[in-house]
Amino acid sequence: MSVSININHLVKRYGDNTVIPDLNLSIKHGEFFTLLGSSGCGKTTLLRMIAGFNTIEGGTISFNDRILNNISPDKRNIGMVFQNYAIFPHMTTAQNIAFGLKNRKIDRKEIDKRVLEMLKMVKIEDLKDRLPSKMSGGQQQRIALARAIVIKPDVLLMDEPLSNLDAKLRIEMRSAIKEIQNRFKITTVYVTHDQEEALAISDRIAIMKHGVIQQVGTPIEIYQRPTNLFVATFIGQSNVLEGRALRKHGYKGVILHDGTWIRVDGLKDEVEDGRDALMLVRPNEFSILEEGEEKAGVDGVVIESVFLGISMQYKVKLSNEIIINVMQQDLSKRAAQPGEVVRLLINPVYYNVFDKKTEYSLVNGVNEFE
Amino acid sequence: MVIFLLFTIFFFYPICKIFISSVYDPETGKLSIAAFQKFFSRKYYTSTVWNSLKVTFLVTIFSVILGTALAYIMKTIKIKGKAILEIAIVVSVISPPFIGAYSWILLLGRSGIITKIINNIFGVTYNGIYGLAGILLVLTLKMFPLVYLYVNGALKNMDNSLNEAAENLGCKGINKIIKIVIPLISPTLLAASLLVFMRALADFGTPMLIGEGYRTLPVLIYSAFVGEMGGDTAFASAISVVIVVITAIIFLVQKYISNRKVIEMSALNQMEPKETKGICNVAAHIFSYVLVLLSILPQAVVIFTSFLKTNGRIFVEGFSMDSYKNAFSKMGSSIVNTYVFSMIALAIILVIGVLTAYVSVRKRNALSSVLDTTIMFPYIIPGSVLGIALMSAFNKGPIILSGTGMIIIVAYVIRRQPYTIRSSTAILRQINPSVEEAAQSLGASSFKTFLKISLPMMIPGVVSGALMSWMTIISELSASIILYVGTTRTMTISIYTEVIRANYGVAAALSTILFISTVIALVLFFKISGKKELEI
Repeated sequence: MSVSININHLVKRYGDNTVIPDLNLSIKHGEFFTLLGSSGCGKTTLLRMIAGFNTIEGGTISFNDRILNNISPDKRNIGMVFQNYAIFPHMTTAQNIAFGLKNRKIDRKEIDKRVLEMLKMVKIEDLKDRLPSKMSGGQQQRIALARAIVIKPDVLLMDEPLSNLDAKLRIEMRSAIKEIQNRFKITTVYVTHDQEEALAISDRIAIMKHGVIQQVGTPIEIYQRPTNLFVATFIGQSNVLEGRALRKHGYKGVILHDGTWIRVDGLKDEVEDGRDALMLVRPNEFSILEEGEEKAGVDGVVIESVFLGISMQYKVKLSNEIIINVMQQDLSKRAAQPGEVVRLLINPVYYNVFDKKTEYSLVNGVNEFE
Repeated sequence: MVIFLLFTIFFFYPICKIFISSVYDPETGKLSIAAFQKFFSRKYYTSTVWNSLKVTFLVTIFSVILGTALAYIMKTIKIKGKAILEIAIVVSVISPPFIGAYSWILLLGRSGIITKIINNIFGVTYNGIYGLAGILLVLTLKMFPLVYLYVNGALKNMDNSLNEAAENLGCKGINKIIKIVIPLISPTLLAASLLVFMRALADFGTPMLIGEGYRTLPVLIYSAFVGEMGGDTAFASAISVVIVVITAIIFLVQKYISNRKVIEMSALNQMEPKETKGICNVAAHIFSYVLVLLSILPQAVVIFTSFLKTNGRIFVEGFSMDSYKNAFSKMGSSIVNTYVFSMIALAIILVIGVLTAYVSVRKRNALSSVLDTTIMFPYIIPGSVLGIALMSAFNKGPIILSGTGMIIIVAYVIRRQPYTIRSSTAILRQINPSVEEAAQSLGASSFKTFLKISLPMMIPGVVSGALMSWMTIISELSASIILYVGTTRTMTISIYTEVIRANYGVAAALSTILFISTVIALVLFFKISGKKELEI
């Protein structure tokens, strides 16, 4: 039924232009795996290579142990959901969904039964005999999903299926897709550029840039333990503070631009004092020092303060003129006003420090491939 | 690949044969340019080239001016009854050209209705509108609606903000038209001019009927090949070469010019006609009405006279259906032939068109680009030339087709194929490839995908393209007139022969039948394609 996907040393070239130089990936069977990245990073290209619509210039793609390179798309037993739905306009909803089953020589009764089941599952029974031309995006997307799943494919491929829907519908469909995938446990490869969507829906995520995978991991891992600066700044909001590695009193740590020393036990042993480093702090990992407390932190001036309902957002200018974003979620504390001088404490779940030159993580416990 | 083969056999071979026969003298078995020498030595013949060019250039210029003026006026000024005018224009585009010729003879010929009126009122003896003037009149009135349709389409795509910006900067009226509008629609004007030029150059029926000895090249080819003094294949071939060279040059010139000016426009604000007052308004209305009236006059006259009583060859007082009775009894076979041949030709064209479009759009490779170019060749070969090419190629073995209906069908297919290929390609391009990919991902092979998905989605466009093609097929004359024999006449050929014999009644009846068929096809076309206007 559902398969594992193994991609080895995959190469994609268009003429002289190499868009994917050497890609290796292992997707577990039954997993919801997302390819995340901005436009042009190669995620759709990779997806289409798995589907068979793009040629492979090097390396192999296998389902379980079966190498797929030379198998035509209609024989790969994949279900694909396209960004623009690609519903056949001259067939009714039911006929659309039945199409894949008809190609597999399944008998009439069985087809009708499965189609009806599927219509109920995606909640479009009443659209059964209608033509798609006047349907909304959400309805068409459900048809596309039903059509891809009803054939019980080995792999489900989705190419930014929700990007043409409005925000509220997107969230609704997101849950529907997740629920269905959970029920059938089909290995799914999902492409998106929306990082919130990726975090919400995936078992594991691969972040791509220029055809190269930057990191593979669960949403939590990627968010809390990014392997490089790109991943760190791509996911979630972030502030980057400049500094240098420095040991003090026998402890490992980082000294920031204004002399504030932050203790970082997780720093790798081989990091020498004086190495230029960048510390990543998410806006909610800062807290404003209360009056009367004496702790180490960075000093700055509040230049903007915005009340967003569930949080206060500040823009704070540090002594090196850099402006950072701070989010205060504990609204029982007093809100800081513009012009106020504040000291910001840094308390993340995990400290994230990167080498300024290579941009790679300098802390322990971070893995590129989980 | 199969298409390529077919095309080669039926098209290239005959054409090459023509070129060869123009320089190869079968009697002496030597290469000779005697035919060409014969052509260029006598002023009688060389003047024909000059005549043809004169006619063609003048017709092109006049019809472009008239067509553009009308299109511009109808777009900018609110003309009452615009909808009816536009229908009339479309009608005049689809009726066969030479019908205009003989209509005008009825009106302005020696014993024409209007001639008589003029003679009576002004007391002069006007001998009728024959010769160059007649040809110019008929062809211009026939071609300007075509230009109108082209320019109308271009103006629809012109954003009115451009006009407003120009006015705002101080450029108004005629100045604005010359400096802003014309340059912007120049690609369309060029394309329209090319079409008019080639049609006028290749037109056989009009100069034959109303030219009265004013020789143009197609007429010369016909008489050299078929006429009483004919039978001189080499000579006819030589003339054909001359025509093809001229058309090819013009075609390439136009392609070159239009490639240099690429202007992309899309209209956020379309031009809207405005109410005007005063002299301008009156003049505009008169101009539009008169022009359109003149363009449909021939067809109207024909329909009218088809219902008149005839006494032998003359129209007499009273109405009757005799002409129709005669038409059906004497020419019944030609009516049947027209429908049968055109349907078969249409079927072939559709299959080839759809397949070629699919190969050319979805499976691009070196062969398909070659196919693209070769498909366009028939455009530059005038019908008469094709006629004699096919005739001489298939007169003897290995394939003998002359004298059969098949050769006429072949002529139809070759002449009208490019249009269907173009329209099928256009529709296919509008279909998003992801639909076909979806089908493949669901297990359908390439072929199955084409049959079950692409083709059904193409059908509305293909059908409307087919209707357009059919309308032009049934009014084809210049090739079939050379290829027919007694049993394979079509309606257009019968109309022509009856006009030559001055059996105007029967000719009118047949023309009206042809006309009604075209109108029905046109109505179906609008219904199926859902379009409101004709775009070429």
